[in-house]
Amino acid sequence: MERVNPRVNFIFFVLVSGITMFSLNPVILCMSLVFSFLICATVGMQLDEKKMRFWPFVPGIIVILVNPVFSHNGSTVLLFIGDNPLTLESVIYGVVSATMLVSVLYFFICLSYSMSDDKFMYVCGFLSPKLSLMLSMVFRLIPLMGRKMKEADEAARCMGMYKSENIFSDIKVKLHVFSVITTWSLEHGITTADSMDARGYGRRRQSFYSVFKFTLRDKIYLLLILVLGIYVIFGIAIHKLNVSYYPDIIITKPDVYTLSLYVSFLVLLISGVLLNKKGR
Amino acid sequence: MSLIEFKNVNFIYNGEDTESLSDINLKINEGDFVVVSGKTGSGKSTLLRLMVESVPNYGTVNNEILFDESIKAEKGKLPKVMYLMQQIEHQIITDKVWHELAFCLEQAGLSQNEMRNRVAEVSNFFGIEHLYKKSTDKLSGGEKQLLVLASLIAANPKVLVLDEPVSKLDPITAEHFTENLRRLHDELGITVVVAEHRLESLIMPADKLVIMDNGKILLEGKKENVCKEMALNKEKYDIQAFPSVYKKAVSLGFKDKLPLSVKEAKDINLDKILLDSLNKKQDELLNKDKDKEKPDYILSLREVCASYDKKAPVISNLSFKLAQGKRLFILGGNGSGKSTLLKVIAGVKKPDSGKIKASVPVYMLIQDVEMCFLKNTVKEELLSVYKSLDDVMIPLDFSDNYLKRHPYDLSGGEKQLLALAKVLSCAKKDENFLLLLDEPTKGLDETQRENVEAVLSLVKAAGNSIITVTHDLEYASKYADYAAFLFDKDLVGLSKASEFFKNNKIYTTQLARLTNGEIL
Repeated sequence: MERVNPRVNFIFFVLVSGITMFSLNPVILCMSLVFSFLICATVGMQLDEKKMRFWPFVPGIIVILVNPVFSHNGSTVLLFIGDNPLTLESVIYGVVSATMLVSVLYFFICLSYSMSDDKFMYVCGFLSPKLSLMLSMVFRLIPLMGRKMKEADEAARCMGMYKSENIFSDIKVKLHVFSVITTWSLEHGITTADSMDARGYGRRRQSFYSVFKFTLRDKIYLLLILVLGIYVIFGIAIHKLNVSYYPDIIITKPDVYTLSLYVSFLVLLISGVLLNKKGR
Repeated sequence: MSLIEFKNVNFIYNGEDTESLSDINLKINEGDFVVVSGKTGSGKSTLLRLMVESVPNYGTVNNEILFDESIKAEKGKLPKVMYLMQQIEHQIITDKVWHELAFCLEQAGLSQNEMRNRVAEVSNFFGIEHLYKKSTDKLSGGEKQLLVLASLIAANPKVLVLDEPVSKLDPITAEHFTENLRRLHDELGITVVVAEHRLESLIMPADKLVIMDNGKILLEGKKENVCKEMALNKEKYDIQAFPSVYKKAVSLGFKDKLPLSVKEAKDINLDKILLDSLNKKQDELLNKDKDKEKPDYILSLREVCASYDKKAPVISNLSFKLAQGKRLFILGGNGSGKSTLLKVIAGVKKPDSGKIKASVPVYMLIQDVEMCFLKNTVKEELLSVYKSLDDVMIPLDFSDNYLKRHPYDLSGGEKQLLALAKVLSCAKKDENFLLLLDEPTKGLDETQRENVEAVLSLVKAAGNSIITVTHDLEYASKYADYAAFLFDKDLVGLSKASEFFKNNKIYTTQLARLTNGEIL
């Protein structure tokens, strides 16, 4: 069974990716990287067939390589490439932004893993029942149209329309298939609208049915992550976690307060691992 | 007090000049189970749609349709008359089963608790709990139909209006659906109005019959009375839609106690009468089936396997041969892999292993024939594949009214014919060919079926072979040379059609069941 309500899970991911994106603090980013990878692995492992994805590292490496080439700020010059200086600060800044990018990408992968269509709808239903109904209809229409597209293609094939004389005749058949689908979807739209009318659509303000429950544990989790998250965000807002990279790297001296911020973020991330581990 | 009352109602669709319904006088009383029967185009669907206030009718109603206070449409309330439309696929609105079940309830703005309760109740009543979290796209036709019915019932209607709910289902699924309707009527006291052009499964629970033709009500009343009246004036009425035991009894001159099921037929000893008459003819029949030529095989399959998912093959080690100029019917339940087999033969789907050899070109007409249409009128559609209308080999209705219609507005049988015309246009240059048909009679009435069949017999007479997939047993028994059953990924019992239907005890026609296979 799911361990946690999708809305709580959604809020968790919004909080951690937000904090990751807006603090350029290396400690925070290191924690984010480790834990985003960890959560992704736990979630991914529970879904069979899904292997761990490593592609987020590719844009990460590109950022590391590209940043020093284009940014020449920084006071410590390592060497000159042609006329352009390569500075220690820009290299470090590149590594830091890459870490940020990779961890945010991993958080998004986690989100897409743990948000199936119906969970996503549930999260949106919180905003507006109309929006969530629309999403639900779109989620129905897309696979249906895909299937019909295949059917129309097969129909054309079975009637011997693909003669494969040249590429143009094939394109013509594809256009034919597309036009069949257009007609079909218009028809579908009209009938579905009638079906909605017949079932009392738009008579009253809608409510929203959900298969998910908001349990006591969800409330506790929500309270926990909100308190921790807002505490950390407050810390960022009052520049307690500020690090400046150009022209020199300056890290504010850690005191008890910054330490408490680090610990809070760590606890927030650990709770995330627990949230996304399936129960039983 | 009747719930719905039609008083001399006429109805014209916008943009047409002839009345689609005329002089309709009809009362639907509380607790009725009304079956409206008639050919396609007789106005059944139009009549049904007028009973549902909540959907637009795209036309003008003259005179009055009275609705009882208790079912009148009101603002801010769910409709009390719920409507199941003909198009199964289009009327499903959402992507998940649970959402579909809750759709009406969401519209009524019920609280979470109330909704959960109702959804639980209906899924329990219909036994569809196991589907609860599935995608609606993954359901079979029968499951989809049941899901929509359940979602309507969740809204607690007083009247249920259903437009051809079972004509597109296989016989077993249709029986299951009908049984659910009977329970709704008997256990929940819901008034049911159903339109259907084939009555085999629906006539048993019905207590009132309405016979329609050409936009008029020919006959209406208690089931027994209508059945009797039609038998007495069999020249005047068309009894094609009725179960075959009834038709047989009428043709034998029965006037009273007309049977509607195999059991009722046994009660009046129809089986004995039929078998007696058979003995006299037996000798003639014996000399008939004796052609022992070596046939030309145009298609042979050897140990073919096919699957969509490697773990679950749909067809496995299937072998058979088909001779030139023969018709093979493949029967089987929904999801038994019949369509997949056709796709493999047509070469649209690659088999995993095995050999398929066809010595003639193969053409196939897929199940959803709408997928063949792309023009705005029938005429354009025909001219897109034929040089001129004179080249069309199929006897179509070439009137202006027909040619200027949109292909989607045609009736099921007309669509089938038009699609056939398109497929045959591609095949005409070949000397011989093999035609594959995927449920060509799905949702067609008797007359339309015969029209399609007329074309197919032309095709066969030209020396071409046809493989038809169907679950229409009466149809298969009439026209098949060979028949087989697709079961457990393999063809079972491939044999001459007469033997096939004789050997089958359950999966066979009503008359064969009655006479133990002696008469089909």
